[in-house]
Amino acid sequence: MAFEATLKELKGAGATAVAIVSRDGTVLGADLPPSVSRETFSIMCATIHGAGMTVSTELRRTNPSRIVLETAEGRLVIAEAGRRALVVLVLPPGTDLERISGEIRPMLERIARETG
Amino acid sequence: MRFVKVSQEEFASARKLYEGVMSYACHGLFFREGESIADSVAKEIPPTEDLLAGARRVLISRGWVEDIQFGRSEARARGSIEVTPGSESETCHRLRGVVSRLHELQGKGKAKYAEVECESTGSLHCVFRAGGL
Repeated sequence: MAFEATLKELKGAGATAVAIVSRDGTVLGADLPPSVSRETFSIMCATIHGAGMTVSTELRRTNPSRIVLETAEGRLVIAEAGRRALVVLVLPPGTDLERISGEIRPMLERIARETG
Repeated sequence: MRFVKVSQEEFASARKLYEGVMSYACHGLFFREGESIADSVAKEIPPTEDLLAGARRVLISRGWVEDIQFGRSEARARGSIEVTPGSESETCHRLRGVVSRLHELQGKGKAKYAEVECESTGSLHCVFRAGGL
């Protein structure tokens, strides 16, 4: 499964780094700085998402459609792409999150279709 | 080397605990545990012995499986310790990591095996195939 074109499109939406990972943390595709361990990064993003699901379940709420990690250097967004995949976007400070969310929606739907 | 005995029921309850905390993400961590275990298994195999034949011997003697057969890009196990009969999905995530890492240690390159059949869901064997998601 190759996601090169989709990764490029996701980066084009304004992300400085992107990854497409399965819910168990497998890297399906990634464009990350060379200093970042793809495996560790992906599995930790899946873990954050999994923990978010558990918190939501405890609150009797639906699963989170996205999780946002805020730091002084910008945001990291973990978004659901169907039942099996997650998209992780690393965004610079000041990025309009709602604009990006709208832009990437068709890409998330495509990834969802491709991963079943 | 020292070992500790962990029962099949204890394996199942640990898996359920982690699934309850971090959902599917723990399957990836179990997979990585399996990769580490494969490294340790490989160290037990003398250089004169075939890697997969030796791995089969060690995995059986350590109780991970009752038997396992390795094919070109497939492995078929019987009696995996990670089996929990009546499960809705496959459960042998560590063994999947072991098989994937052994494939790599054989010099065949990095591969990620998927468990395409599992005794937990009613299959006769657990079948691992290279290249799955």
